[in-house]
Amino acid sequence: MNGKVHVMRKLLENITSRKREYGLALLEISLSILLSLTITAGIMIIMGYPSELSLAAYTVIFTKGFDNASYLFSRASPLILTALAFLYPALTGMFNIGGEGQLYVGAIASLVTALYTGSSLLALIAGGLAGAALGMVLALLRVYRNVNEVVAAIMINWALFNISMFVIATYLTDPSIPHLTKQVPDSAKLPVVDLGIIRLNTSFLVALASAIGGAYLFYRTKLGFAMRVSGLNPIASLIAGFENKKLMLTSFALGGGMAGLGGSILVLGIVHRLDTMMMSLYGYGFLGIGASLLGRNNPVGVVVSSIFLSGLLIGGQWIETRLGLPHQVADLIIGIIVISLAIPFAYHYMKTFFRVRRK
Amino acid sequence: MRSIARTTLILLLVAIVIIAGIAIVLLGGFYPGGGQPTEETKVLVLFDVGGRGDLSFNDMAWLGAERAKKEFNIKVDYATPRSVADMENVLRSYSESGEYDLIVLVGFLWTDPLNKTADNYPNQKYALIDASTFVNRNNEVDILFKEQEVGSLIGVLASGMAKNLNASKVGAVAGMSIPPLWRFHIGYLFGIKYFELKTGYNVSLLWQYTNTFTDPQVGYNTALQMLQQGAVVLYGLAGYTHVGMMDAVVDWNKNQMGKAFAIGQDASQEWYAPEYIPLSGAKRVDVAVYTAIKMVVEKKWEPGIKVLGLAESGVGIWDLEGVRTFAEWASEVGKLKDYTVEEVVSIVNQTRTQYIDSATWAVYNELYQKIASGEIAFKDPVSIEEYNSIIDALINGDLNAALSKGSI
Repeated sequence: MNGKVHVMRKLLENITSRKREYGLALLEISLSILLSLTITAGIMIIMGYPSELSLAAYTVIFTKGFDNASYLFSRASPLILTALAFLYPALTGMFNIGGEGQLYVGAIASLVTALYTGSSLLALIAGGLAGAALGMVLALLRVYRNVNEVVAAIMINWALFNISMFVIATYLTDPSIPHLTKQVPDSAKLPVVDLGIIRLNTSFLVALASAIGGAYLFYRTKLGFAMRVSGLNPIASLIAGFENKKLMLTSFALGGGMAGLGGSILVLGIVHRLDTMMMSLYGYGFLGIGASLLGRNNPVGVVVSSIFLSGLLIGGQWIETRLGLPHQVADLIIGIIVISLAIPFAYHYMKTFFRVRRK
Repeated sequence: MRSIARTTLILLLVAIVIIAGIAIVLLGGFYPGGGQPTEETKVLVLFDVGGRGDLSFNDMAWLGAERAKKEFNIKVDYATPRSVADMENVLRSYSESGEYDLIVLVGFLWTDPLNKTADNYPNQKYALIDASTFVNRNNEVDILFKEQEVGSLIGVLASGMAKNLNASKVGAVAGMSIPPLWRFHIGYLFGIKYFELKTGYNVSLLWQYTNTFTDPQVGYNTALQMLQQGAVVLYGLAGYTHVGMMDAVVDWNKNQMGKAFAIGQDASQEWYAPEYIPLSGAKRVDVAVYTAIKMVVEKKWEPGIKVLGLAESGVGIWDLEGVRTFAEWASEVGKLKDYTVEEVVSIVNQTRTQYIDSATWAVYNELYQKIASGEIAFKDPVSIEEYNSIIDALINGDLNAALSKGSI
């Protein structure tokens, strides 16, 4: 009992001592929301809708988006992983835009493994390894041949989109429903656990474990420390005796593995089969970049931002039925919210950037 | 001094934010969430991923639902799932709410989500369009189409056009060897042979499976081979793949290699290249949606599989009104670049009158009557062996081999 009080007091002291910081953060968020509301209202008026529809749209998105926890968590799981796929290399100072392609490869590797072995564990490992291998290719090109990883990743994404479509259409389709692939066998599906309050998709646990593991690695181990140092200042890292090349390869492989794992849980835990137009996979990798930036490049922040973003996306689906607006308006509003929330981060970033330049 | 000014500023901003927040909550609360209790029938149409603007299934479903809305004075809502991963949960949420008398699901991607959901909500009615779960449920109707009937009409008209061009071959670029495509094949060949029987003009068929519904390049290459072999009319039965076929036909004409035509399927695709696509076979998703809604409004719910044919206007040839509608949509989304809507309609009309003569239309009308009146009906092959034997018999001129009812 006494211990608990002690902890509480410690926490309270912590908060009061950083009052200014938390207050500012709160202010930023409130201002962002106010800003996004104003912009949406303006756009509504330009589009010829009554401006109060923007308030109604926010009400719909926020109430419908966050009222079903089971749906919310399962929707967020792949997004958390693709966001981590961007985050881990970013902490080492590199940009992994290839999450999309790594997700495709991971999904297909998992599906094939699941079809042949019927084991979810093996399928998860296969997906993760396939993504990691692809991340490794990008990192090798960067480290040893000095190919810009962003350009390489963008090109590889599209090549992989078409290759994946070819593989799915040629080898994996179900003869009775030719637009879909064969289904993941029941033994390889990630189970949904009924906890009474929510039906928890175990995919979410995989994603959560990946984020916590990443936080531990980057902030509690020597290797993680070295990777962060190399990201913040490569020269200092070199002087300190860290092997920058190895660190870059490790973090990129880790990122690729995360995206691959994202593809795995999407197939094993959520959709259970793919379609020939790749509609079940497309977009998660790109969205992950946004979620990662919104999470302020922090593994725990990424979990929160992915859940938040998923909630917005889920709620956006109700715009059409509840308000009769075209479904693209939901995308517009979500975009505005995300950009507004990202502005403070960009502002702080720019401020430090210019301060450093001035000196 | 400076810090005081800053604190005041921050406080002021916080106050503004709080006031704004309260205003949002209040105004948001005043705005009706759409759930007013009414006695009228409420229908929800769930589109395929992507939603409206696809110039095909989703737009046709909207057309059918809007027609039902006007005629029956009901409330129709629409929703578009964000991704395939959302489909099951979206369907579950709406089923759970019990708000709608009928949920219409457009496209085959809904098959899995429906299978996982339907049994949990026995009082919620579902209509699945152009796909089937092949499970009998009291709350589910699956609406399919009679592909043979539209295929046979296209077969007659394609032969007629070939005759006009003094050619002896027509072709078809097909997707995969699956039952719906078998039915198209049987119908198309039946129409060609029926034309031969009535006019004595012999046209042979080049039929090619591309094994893909998604690769226009394969469609282009396949079509080019057929054109080189002398086929002058190509029927596209391969979804996105046959867009490549249409491109091949356009290039063939533009490069002065000869005169050739393409025929679309499902939606009206004439607008894509009106000079070279005079016809499209129709799969009337709009009629299917309308039919499903009508069953609920008139309280004549019949669960199971419902197959729409010519008699129900579920299939057929797109008339000029249909061509106009699709050209208008294409122009709305900016895909109709080189023509106006009026030009599309008049070019199509002109090509149809120029290349399809009255004798061909007479054969067409005769066959149409026989099918629509129920005098003849086509077989549904259940195995690939049965399908192959029907095709062989048709090639040898035995038209009755394709019929389950009546005879020629």
